[in-house]
Amino acid sequence: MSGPMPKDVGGQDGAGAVFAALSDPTRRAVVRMLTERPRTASEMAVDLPVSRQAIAKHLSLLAEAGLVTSDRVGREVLYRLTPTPMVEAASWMAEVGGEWDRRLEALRRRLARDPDRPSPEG
Amino acid sequence: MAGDDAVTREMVLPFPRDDVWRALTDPASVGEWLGPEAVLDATPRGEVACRRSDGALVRGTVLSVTPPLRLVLVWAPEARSPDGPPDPTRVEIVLTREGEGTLLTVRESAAIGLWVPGGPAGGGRAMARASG
Repeated sequence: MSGPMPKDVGGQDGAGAVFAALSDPTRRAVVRMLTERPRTASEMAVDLPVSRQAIAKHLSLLAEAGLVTSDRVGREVLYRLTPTPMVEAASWMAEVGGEWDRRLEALRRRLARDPDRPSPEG
Repeated sequence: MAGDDAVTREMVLPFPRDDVWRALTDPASVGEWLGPEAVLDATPRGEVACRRSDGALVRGTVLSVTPPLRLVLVWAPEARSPDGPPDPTRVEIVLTREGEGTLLTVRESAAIGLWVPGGPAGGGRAMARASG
């Protein structure tokens, strides 16, 4: 019997690194921002609630998975999304999966505190 | 791989299936799991709407309802971007008895045969043609 947490039962073996890279909500946010246009880590740090250093770490993980590439432009490093349907599809799947993880967890909490039923804690 | 795009999640809930169905579809409960602005009219051709965490409003239609077993709907983000996800998508929620609890399976997939990658086919047309 599975635990109470949602689990991913989809995915494809060859895409393991891509899905692992997209398992993190901050990295999904980074990918989402890069779908609009290429950006620098500092630029993304303005819009995300994490440090530039943390974003740089996420970006290097995304680059290892082949999701982003980088170019040096003057003193800045510009990151862009690797333009392949695979990346778009994987990013879509990570987004949709993240939404369902959130909804199912909310549903579980809703059921757990139903006033018609004693709570599991007692 | 556009045609195979699908996301599946399973969760075992330690509650009877009728209770899970009620929590899913009861108007007073929908907002608690689908989001504060959510609408889910769990009747055939009923309205569905919710706000995604990226801010996009998603709207759609219930295709088929079989209480307390199965709910199928099709929805799409209101504003579509050319590089965006393959939409509209079909969502199927299935409840299966598992011991004294319930196994909830949700599968969201590109509305196969209706969504053309990069094509002009709009959500409205797909919603009219998709079947449960």
